[in-house]
Amino acid sequence: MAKIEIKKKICLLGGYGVGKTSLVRRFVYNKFEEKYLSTLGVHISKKKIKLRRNDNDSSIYVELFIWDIANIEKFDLIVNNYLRGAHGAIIVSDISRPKTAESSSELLNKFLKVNNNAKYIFVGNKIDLIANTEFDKDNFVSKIPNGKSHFHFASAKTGENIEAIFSNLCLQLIEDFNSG
Amino acid sequence: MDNILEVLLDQQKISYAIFDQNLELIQHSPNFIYSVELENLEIGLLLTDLFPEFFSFEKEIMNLLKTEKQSFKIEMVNKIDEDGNIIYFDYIFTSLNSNKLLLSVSDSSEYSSLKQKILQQQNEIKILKESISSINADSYEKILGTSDVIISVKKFIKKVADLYGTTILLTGESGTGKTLVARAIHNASKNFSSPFVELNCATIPSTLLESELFGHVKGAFTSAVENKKGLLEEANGGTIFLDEIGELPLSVQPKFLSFLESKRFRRVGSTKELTVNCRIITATNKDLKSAVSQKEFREDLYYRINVISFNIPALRERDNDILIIAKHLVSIFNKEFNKCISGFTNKAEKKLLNYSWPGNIRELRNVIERAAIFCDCEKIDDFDIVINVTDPEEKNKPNILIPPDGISFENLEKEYIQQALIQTEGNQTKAAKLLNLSLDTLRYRIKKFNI
Repeated sequence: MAKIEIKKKICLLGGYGVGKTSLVRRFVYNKFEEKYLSTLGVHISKKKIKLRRNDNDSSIYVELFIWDIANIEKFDLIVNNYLRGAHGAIIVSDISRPKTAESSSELLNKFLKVNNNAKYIFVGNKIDLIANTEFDKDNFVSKIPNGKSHFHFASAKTGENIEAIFSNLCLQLIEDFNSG
Repeated sequence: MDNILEVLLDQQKISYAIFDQNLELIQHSPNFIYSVELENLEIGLLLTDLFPEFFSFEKEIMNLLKTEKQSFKIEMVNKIDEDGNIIYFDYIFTSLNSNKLLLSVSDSSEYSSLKQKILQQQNEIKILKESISSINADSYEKILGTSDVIISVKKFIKKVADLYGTTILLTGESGTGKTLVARAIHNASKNFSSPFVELNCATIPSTLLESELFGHVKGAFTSAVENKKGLLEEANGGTIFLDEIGELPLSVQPKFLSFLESKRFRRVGSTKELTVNCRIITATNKDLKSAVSQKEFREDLYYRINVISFNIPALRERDNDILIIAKHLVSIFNKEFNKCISGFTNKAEKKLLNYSWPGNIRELRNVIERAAIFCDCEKIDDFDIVINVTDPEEKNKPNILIPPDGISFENLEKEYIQQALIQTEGNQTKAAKLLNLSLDTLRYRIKKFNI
C-alpha cells in the first residue's frame, strides 16, 4: 500500500472569544479549558492525520500546521504574513453571539485575497450552549453568505464535530491527490 | 568585539542564524539553540528542519534573496515553555546578499505578555458589553414562556416602556418576577443606558430609609460624616424601582408623595431643593388597599403610585411555562455544575406541572438547582424533584394528573381500595380508616368491585 505524506498550513480566523484556541486544543490535545485566555499574535500547533485515498489502495498522511490567529481587527502586514502560504482556513463564530457570524464573510474574503486558491469551512462553535434552548440554526447560518454548503456546528467543550471539521477541510485540501 | 556582540545580543534576548541560498544553516549565535526545538544544532540543517512551521514561507524567503536588505517578519509567535508559560518570539528574515539570509529571533515575552494582559481585559469588557446590550432592548421578549398570561405581560412592558413620566405599580405574589419585569420595562425604554436603581423597602431599617432614598448632608445626624447622594439622585435620568413599597415607613411616605408630585426634594438635613427626573416603578405583594384601610399606608400615596398597575401572574397560572422555565434553569445549572442534563422524564414533568408552586419562580429555581446537583442521569426524574411542602392544603392534595384521554374513575377507586387492603394486610377496619370511609361503605365497595 502506497503512503503519501504532505504538509498543509491552515489558519483559524474569527472574532474574539469565539473559541478558536479551544477548537485547536480539543483537536490536537483532546483537552478543554473553561477559562478564557485571549490569544495575542499567533499560536502554531501541528497534528498528523491519516486519510484514505479514493482508490482505497493508498493512504495520505497530512501533517497539519494549524495557525491559531488572534482576532484580527485590521489586515496589516503582520496579519498578512501570518496568512501567507496557507492552504485552508476555518472561520469560526460563536453561536451564542450571532454578531460574530456577521464578520465571517469579510474574514474569508480577506483570507482569499492572500491565498486565492485556498479551501475553507465555517464553524459555529459552542453548540453545547444551546442544547436545551430553542435555536434557529438556519437563521444563524443565513448570516454567512455562501455559508450553507460549508457550515458546521461544533463544540470544543464537548468535542462534538471537531474531528469532522478538520477531516472535512483536509479532504478538500487533498482533492488534487484524490482526483489525480 | 565578537564577544561584546554576543553579550549584547544575549542581554536583549536576541539570537541569530545565517542560511545560504539553499536555506541551509551556515552560522549561528551560541544562544540560537534556545530558539529551536532541537537538542543539537548542526551546520547544514535546513531552515525547515529548524522551524517546520515555516515550510509555507519558503517561496517568500527565496524571493527575499533576490533583493538585498529586504525583510520578512513574523511577529508574536507564541510558544509554551516547559513550565507552561507563554513565550513570544519575533522572527525577522533579512537578505544580507543574494547568497546569505539572516534570521534574527527575539524573545518579546516581556512586552508581549503585558500587551496580552491588556488585550485580555479589553476582550473581556467587549464580551460583557455584548451580553449587557443583548439583554437590553428586546429583553422583554426573552422573558420565558408562551402562555397567554405571560404574553400579556410582554405586551404591557412594550406599551409602558416609553411612558416615562407615569408611575407604575407591579403587584403579584412573592417570587413571580416583579423585579425582572421592572428591569425589562427600563431596558425596553429609550433610556436603557441610564441607571436602573433598585431599593427593597423591607430590607432597610425605617430610620435609615429616608437618608438612603433622599441622601443626607454632613452633620444631619450623628453618623452623617459626609454628604451622601440618595438613590433618587443616583437614578436621575433612569429608573428607580422600589420593591415592597408597602413597607415604606409612614414617616417617609409624605416626603415621597411630595417628591412624586413635584420631582423635587431635600436631602436629610439640607435646606437646598434638588430636582430629579426619573421613572418610578413600585412593586408589592401586599394588598395595599387593605393597608390603606388599616392606616398602614397613606391613601393619597396609594392613588399616586397606582396610576398604572399590573398584576404579575403566579407560576401556577402559566401552564406549560413551568416546563420552559425549568428547562432553562437546567441549562443554567448545567453550566454551573458542569453537567450535561438534557431535560426531564415524563414523570418529572408531570410532577412539576402538578404542583401549585406557592413560592413561584424562586421556589422552582431552588427545586431545580437541588435536582441538578443530585441528578446523575441524562434526565431529571421525579424522585430528583424534592418539593418541601409547607402548605397543609398542598400536603393533602393527591398527586394525580388526569391524562388527556381521561381515566376510569371506578378503576381508580378499585385500585385505591386494593392498595389500602394490601397495606393493612386485609384488615378492613384499618383500610376504611386509611381511606376515610365508614366500614359499611368500604364493605359495600369491596362487594361492588368484587375484590
